[in-house]
Amino acid sequence: MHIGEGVLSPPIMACGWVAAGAATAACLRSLNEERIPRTAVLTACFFVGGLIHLRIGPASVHFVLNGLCGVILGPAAFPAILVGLLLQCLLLASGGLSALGVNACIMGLPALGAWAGMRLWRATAWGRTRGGMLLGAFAAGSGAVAAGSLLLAGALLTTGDELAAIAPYILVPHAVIAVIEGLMTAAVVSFLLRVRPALLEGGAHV
Amino acid sequence: MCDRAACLLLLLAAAPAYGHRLSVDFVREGDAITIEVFHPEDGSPAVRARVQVFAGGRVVASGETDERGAFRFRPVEPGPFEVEALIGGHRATCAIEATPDAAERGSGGADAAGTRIRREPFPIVATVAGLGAIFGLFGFLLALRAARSARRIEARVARLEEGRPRAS
Repeated sequence: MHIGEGVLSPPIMACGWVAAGAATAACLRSLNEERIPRTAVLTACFFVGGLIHLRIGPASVHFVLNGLCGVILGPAAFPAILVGLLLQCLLLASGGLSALGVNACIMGLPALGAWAGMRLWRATAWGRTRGGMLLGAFAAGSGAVAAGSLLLAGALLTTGDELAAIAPYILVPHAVIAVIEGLMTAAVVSFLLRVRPALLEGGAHV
Repeated sequence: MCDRAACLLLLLAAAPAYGHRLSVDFVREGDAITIEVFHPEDGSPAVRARVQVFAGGRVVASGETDERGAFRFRPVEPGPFEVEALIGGHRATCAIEATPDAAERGSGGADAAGTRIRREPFPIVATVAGLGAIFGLFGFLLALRAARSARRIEARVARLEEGRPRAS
């Protein structure tokens, strides 16, 4: 899900940097002492998750875990993803440095969306039950990957690629990853609800 | 050393387009050349990749790879050839020299059994380095914040002690 060097046009990359910078500045405030340790752990998960490749059809795709980051970290997910992406770019040559802003938006904005969606869902009557929480976690985990792949497809469409050429390599394999990550997110949330609900962003009231 | 630099250049030229790198390699078999296109992270073949073979800027062969990521052609000229492979936005290139040696092979390695190594080893050093950087960065951030709040608490305690009359 990382766009490399020399794929996007300069204006798009500049927009990505501006958006990523603004989002990071806005999200850094939430990174207080209490949240820093778990942000580190989730950044590490994101960094390693990107190394696990699955072969689906003609494409090979990796885990994104942006939904999980969003659900557990809240707004701190964006800087976490930015740091993870920077290291993936520098150490593993995945994604270009100039496209880092766009990549951070592709994966980070859905993470913020997952957090916001989860908050709204938990304010409803269904969302407060344990089953509702797990359902919400599945939706957040899979929705974030799906949204990310749509943003990626959108970014690639600006380069003049055709949707028919992109779909089998981007959209279809990520749909599979989305389901797997939804289940993973629900499993992690289920575990945290049992052992330490306070870790979930949005408080302990279940 | 020069070979290594050439390999590095080749790797950079085949830089990731969508995060998954694409590599292209070749084997000579008699008078035919088989182009092999694959993803180096997991060694999986790139199926139905578009392959074009150039000789002096002119396309001499083109087609799609099969389900093993292979595309075979019989050159009528000695070469050298430039190979370009494209799949869903990924792009990789490789050069085939003009040497008509039957044992000639591309940049890929081979293990003892003679089967080709397609899969890159898991980047364990880079992973450990990355994890170290992550925990180091957040540890540093935590130390900064902790020092700041410690100073704040100290200042508050000092203020409280000033306001309070001496006990003795």
